[in-house]
Amino acid sequence: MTARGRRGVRRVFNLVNLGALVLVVFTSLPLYWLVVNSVKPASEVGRVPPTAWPDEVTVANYVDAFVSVGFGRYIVNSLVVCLCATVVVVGLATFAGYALARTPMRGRGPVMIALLMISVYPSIAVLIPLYLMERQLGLLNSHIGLMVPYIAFNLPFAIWIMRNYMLGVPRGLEDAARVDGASPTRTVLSVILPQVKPGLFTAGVFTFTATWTEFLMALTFNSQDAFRTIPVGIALYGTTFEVPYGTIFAAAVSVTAPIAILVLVFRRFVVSGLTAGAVKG
Amino acid sequence: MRLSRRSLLAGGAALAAASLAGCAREAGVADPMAGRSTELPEEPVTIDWLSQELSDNEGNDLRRTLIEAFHKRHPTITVRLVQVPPTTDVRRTTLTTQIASGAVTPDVYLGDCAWPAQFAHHSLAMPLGMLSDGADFWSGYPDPIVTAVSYEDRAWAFPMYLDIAFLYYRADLLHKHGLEPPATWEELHRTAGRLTEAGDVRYGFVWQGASSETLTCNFAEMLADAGGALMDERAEEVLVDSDAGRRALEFMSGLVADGVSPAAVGTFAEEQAMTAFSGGQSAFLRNWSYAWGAANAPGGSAVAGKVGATLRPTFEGSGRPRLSTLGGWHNFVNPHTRHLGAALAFARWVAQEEAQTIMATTSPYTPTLSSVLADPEVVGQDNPTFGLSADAEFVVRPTQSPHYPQISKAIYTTANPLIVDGGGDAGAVLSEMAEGMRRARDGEAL
Amino acid sequence: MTTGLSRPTAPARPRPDPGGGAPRRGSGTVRRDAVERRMARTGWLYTAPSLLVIGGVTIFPIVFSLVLSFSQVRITYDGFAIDALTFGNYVALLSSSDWYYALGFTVFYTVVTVAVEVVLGTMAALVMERLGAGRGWIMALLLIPWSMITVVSAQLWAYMYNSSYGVITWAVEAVTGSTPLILGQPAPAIGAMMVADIWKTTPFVAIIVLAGLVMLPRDVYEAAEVDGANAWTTFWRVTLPQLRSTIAVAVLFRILQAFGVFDLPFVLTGGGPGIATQSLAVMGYKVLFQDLNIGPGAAVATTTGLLVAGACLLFLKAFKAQVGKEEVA
Repeated sequence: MTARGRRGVRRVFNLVNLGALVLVVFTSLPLYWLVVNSVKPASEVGRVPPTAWPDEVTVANYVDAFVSVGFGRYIVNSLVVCLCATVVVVGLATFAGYALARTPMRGRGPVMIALLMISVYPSIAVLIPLYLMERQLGLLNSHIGLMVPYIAFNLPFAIWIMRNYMLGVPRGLEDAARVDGASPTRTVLSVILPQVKPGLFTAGVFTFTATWTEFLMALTFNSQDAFRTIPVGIALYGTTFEVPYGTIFAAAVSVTAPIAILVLVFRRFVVSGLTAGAVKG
Repeated sequence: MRLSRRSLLAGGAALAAASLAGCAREAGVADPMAGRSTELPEEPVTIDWLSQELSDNEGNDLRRTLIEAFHKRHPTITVRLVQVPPTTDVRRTTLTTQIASGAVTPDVYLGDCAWPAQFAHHSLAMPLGMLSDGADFWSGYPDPIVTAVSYEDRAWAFPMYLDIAFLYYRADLLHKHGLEPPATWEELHRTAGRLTEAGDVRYGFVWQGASSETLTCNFAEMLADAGGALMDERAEEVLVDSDAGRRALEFMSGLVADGVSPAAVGTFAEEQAMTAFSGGQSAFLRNWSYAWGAANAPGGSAVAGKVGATLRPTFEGSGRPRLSTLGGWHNFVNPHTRHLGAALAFARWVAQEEAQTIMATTSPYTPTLSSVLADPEVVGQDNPTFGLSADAEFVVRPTQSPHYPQISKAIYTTANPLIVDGGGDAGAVLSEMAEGMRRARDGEAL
Repeated sequence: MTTGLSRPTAPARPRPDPGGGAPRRGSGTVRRDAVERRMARTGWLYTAPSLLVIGGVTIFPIVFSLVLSFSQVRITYDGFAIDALTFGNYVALLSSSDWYYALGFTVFYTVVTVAVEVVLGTMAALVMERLGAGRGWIMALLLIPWSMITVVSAQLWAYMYNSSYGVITWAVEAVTGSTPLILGQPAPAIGAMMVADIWKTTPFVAIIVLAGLVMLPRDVYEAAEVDGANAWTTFWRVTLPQLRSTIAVAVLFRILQAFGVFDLPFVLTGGGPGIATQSLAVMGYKVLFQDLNIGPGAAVATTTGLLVAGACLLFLKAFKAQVGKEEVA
């Protein structure tokens, strides 16, 4: 560690900083273009050559995005569905992951494979039967109607992640807890869990992202405005022949900016969530 | 938790059993209308109408205006809006999933004019009676529209609005050079050349050559201009591989080769062509009725107030002028609706005089009803496309085939590379296209 | 909380005991069996809720789709009607040149994007691990493309690639002097789609690898330092071998996602030009929902599922030792 630290001091223009720079530029340029075009007036969006900064900055696209479609409600719906699904997925996956990594239950191999098989089945093919099921159970047009398939289809991945992180936890810790007389559940909660914080965080962020961006199920299962999520809401802009890029970009900035700001504000927490246990911070 | 999971499992098993049991049943095409009341409801009912957003001239929601007017006529019927993304394919997906699964809503849905045969064939729409029953009713619409909404001698949708293709031009530039809007493609080719050479515009003519349905529309028109057709009227015989086909295809790729159109038209759908034109980059644009409003939108267009519109030109020596592909959106009724009477009443009302007049006088959508289309008040509006619409002659795509999407795909995937490359062996492309269309027609394409 | 303190010092990362289970105290006694049985029960108890949720929701749809793929099926006013059971849908598939193209394209796309993303993602993770204060900022930045709704990011790229006013088209024209048709011709369209995917998904790999990286025990590095290994050697000899199980999971799930790629081509290119960017999922979607060809559509989906599963199993076999022995047993 100390040696690496010294190297970092020795050269500012080292590979690491160069890599970081490339990373930042490649990631940011499209984002910059997104933001710039969200504040261009409609007549400038198609201009050739493209303008790097709008001649005239306008918030018309943002007004459009929020006035023409009930965007606030979609944000709430997305948050409710995705957060609930994420919490349930991470909760269930923690225990299943532990069981598959650490207990001598038989058939772990087949279970892991079965999970894999389920998560590879293309979701377009299950759209119709899932719809049939949801209709039979009266789940259409509700938050639960989206949460249930989101949980089921994202659990396999989360279980794989959690199991993988659990494998890395030293066995000595559990043994010590068991000798102290802790129950298995207690062992998982108070001994294992703190060790796999990065795993929890990773599984959580992945599940949230997967559900946050899901389009086809959200479109098909919740046709009523009151339960629409953001991806479907954004797809409502435009007419058969027109793609209003400005409005779409404005909506995209509006839903992405809060996430970015949250991550920035809580960046210490985010980083430590991902790097719990690391000596450097 | 446990209980609900168990019931989920049980529900799943029951459904599997039910759907497999359903397989055994002899599946004759029963008339879903049989034994059902089409009377107007006496008790108040609410029906769902699925539609994309339709804005009127003031930017308000045309759908709500129509719904309110309908509610005044039929106070017992409340219509609720279900909004969908405007993309045709995305909408077909939601409707197929829902209706094939037996969903009772939406009761009425606005669908593409290319859908009736396919939707009828797959039991996704309610037959609205034999065409002969309502002869008086249907005689109010131009024949091609009636043909487009019918399949096996029955009507499957009530017409709502039309999309007609026009040639839009830069009136200011033509005036500057003392030129007239072209009446033939050859003339357009020359005029466009003069304007680009003069440096007034970057491109001469933009249209839609992207590898998608929009190219099928553009090609069908050019083909008809040259005196040909994609298929016969019943969508049975493939006619595309002809001299007319060659003339159309060679002219389209020639536009690119001669620099009248940029090679980029090979990637243009309506949106890109529109943006190029309203950005002041092109002298001519082929586009649908909506383009008048888009080209003249203050703030949204650099050429607002400088635009003219006319019906499409044709080829020199061709006897078929003023042609346009027939496009548009019509209201279908869900065969599983619980409120058949109300649903029929609403879908039918939108196709009739009161609604069509509201639409024609307050919004940019072209009415389908002939009498409204010819109404002096409608014709005399600022928007010239209304006045021109009544004179348009329609080119019907082979939508009479339930396999139309595959037929169209065989057309646009083979024609597109020729346009992108600005030339090639048109004869070989046509025979490949014809072969693909035949396989699609026979339901063999995958 | 510093794991370094409580980690056993000798082996870098304890290899998972393939038998799992109880510590080897006592010598094959009754007590050990009892403990093992109890732990096994606990294992099932922990796994059961997940399996019930997953099974309850997914089994019926998957079986339904499987049945349809073997059926001559029509949509009727009474729902789906199966006229006959048949292999015809699969025969149609295997004789369709479009399907072979879609398969080839999907495999090529998967291999290239996953390979590039894993290399770039690992590099990004290494860079981030070494950054001090900037790490939080970069992480926040990386999370943006990745959490962006795919439908929107595809629109953004479509806008940038646009052949008349796209900024990338303009930039290429400025450099080369000729106007490229990025989404209009097969090869550039495929490349363009890959770039969009790499931009959006490399952060996924980077974050997984970073999390694995920071969980690595410190002491091995110190041992390597003492041995005088340079950074390069340390990376290849120490870091990478230990990261293999983490990278394997990242690769596994990237294969899975890339093989099923749908939203991006659907919005960016619609599978075009022609069928140049038509992945298996897009083809399945079109056959199912555009052509309403239910049986063959289900067959496309089923074969896609089987092929990805096969690819994943092969991959796991190759990585057997790293992911744990049981998966392929």
